[in-house]
Amino acid sequence: MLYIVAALSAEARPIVEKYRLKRVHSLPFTLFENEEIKLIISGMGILNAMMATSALLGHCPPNENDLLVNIGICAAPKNFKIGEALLIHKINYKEHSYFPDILFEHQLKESDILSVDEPVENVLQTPADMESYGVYKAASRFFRTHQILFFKVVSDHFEPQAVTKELAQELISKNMQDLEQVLSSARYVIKKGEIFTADEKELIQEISEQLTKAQSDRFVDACYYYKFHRGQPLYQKGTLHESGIKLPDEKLSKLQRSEYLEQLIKTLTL
Amino acid sequence: MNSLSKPSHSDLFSHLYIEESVLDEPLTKEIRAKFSKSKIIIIKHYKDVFNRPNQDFAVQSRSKNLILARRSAPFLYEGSYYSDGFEYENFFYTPSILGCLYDCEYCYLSGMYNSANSVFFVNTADFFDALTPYLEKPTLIAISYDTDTLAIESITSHTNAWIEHAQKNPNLHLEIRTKSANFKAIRHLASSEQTVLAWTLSPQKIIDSYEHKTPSLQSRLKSIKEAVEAGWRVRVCIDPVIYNEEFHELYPSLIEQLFCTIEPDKLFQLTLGSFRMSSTHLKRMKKLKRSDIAFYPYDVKEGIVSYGKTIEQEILHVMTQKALEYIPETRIRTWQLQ
Ligand code: SF4
Repeated sequence: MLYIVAALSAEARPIVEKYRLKRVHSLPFTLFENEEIKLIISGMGILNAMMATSALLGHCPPNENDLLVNIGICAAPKNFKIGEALLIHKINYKEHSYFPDILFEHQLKESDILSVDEPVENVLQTPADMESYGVYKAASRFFRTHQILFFKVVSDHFEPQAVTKELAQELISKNMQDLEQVLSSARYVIKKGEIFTADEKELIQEISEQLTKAQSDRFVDACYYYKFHRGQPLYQKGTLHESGIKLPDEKLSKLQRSEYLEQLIKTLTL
Repeated sequence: MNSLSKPSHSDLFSHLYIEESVLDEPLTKEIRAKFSKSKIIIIKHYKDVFNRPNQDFAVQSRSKNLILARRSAPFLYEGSYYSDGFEYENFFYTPSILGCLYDCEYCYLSGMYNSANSVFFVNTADFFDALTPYLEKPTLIAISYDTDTLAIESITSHTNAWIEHAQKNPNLHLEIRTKSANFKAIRHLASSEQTVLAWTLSPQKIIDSYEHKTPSLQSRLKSIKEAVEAGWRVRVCIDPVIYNEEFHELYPSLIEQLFCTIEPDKLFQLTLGSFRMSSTHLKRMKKLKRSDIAFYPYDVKEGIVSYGKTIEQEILHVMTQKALEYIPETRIRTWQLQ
């Protein structure tokens, strides 16, 4: 799943249109989705960004193959061009800094960003926005540091009055290709293969139910060992790749359970 | 949206994190110059990056980054129970580099640190100063304790600095442990009895399976041969031995290969030991879910996991017998828990 947080509807519109996201009403925020994407409109400001991100991720908790991206416009000093897309590698908020990991190759400029509570009119040394910190703070409870991305497009040189909804939409639209490229690369990096198949998980579950918690932990460890070491399926006896693990034929006594466990571990680790 | 088109960073250190306090250090400038394409991120304290919660060690291992920082005390730690202090009255290790460029699946660092990145403390002189009070007595310092210093030598020149420091301090003895094939980085220095180069070897099949990004057995052997011939004290460590159904095939022949390459008389010592680790580190390694080594049904005794008495003794017996064909027992050191 790709989770997207945008502060403004105008920033979200190009994405909603491109991926044909449908409006849903399951949260007290504006939410769009399809099978692969959930996009929430947080409203402006750190607190809104934090609340919307928490609500979205609490409502639909992510897994280790998922990605969250905060998309939006930002102000920046004059050495950044208007319309330029940035990937953020350091978020400054008050005395603290936060570091999303960017572990993939890309062609964009990377930058720090300063998250502020109010729109800024005096010129700062780094780009500034009003959401990154809120999104990071909430998302880092759910994601690893490399699963959270900040894709910002420079909208102005600290002249907030010059930024219109139309401009925000246009700037995001123009950078859709870069955004897609970044997301594709990030997904490549985070992709982790499943270790067990659904059938294997079921078999492990059934056998675990015959064991105590401590015994089951040892058995599961042995299954991991087998999969990593042999790289073969964990199917029951009688199938193509039998590994010799099977459910007991009858309910086991305490002693039988210990013997059964030792047999399983031996089979899987020898 | 589903296309998975781009690989992770192929270059070393796509990002350099630099503490504000070391921006002007000469070593920082030298290293920065070597990584002109890396993105520079200025940080207040290395722990803000290195100790972040929720980093993914396995993913970071594929594209490691470097943090340059200033270390404050302590600069020395007493040698640990898991390692051999070689009967020196003073035995310390220095945390001057944290993290390793290599990526061994059995490495305790993956169970110890949140991050797969490396931290290099550029204030080497402070480490030397901290050591001074101890140098009235023979003192052993393990400089590659939480890292492989020779692997990163072309960037840090750290091993060179320590060897040169030892040359000025006769009571300072160094152990430099490595899996690198990088003897060339110190070849220009005079060999000395104060420094032991401790090379870890594994069968090529074990290297392929578990010791990612490390040089091949052949190239390590070549480097060892050069070091031995240049008069350096070399200890070969076949430690940790990773036990599996191929142990009898792989490990005795490794010893044969070693002594086909190096004249047995010229090897200072051979260390043999089987895999062991603190159970706390193993627990964290399991969470990474990436290696069979984390999931073997080990014996646990006093907070340390190991293969258990029977297998450990078998490993040491087989290996020692083989080694005795080439060198006397006095030059073989073994590590055994039980
Ligand atoms: S070389 Fe040593 S320190 Fe480096 S990853 Fe391997 S075991 Fe760990």
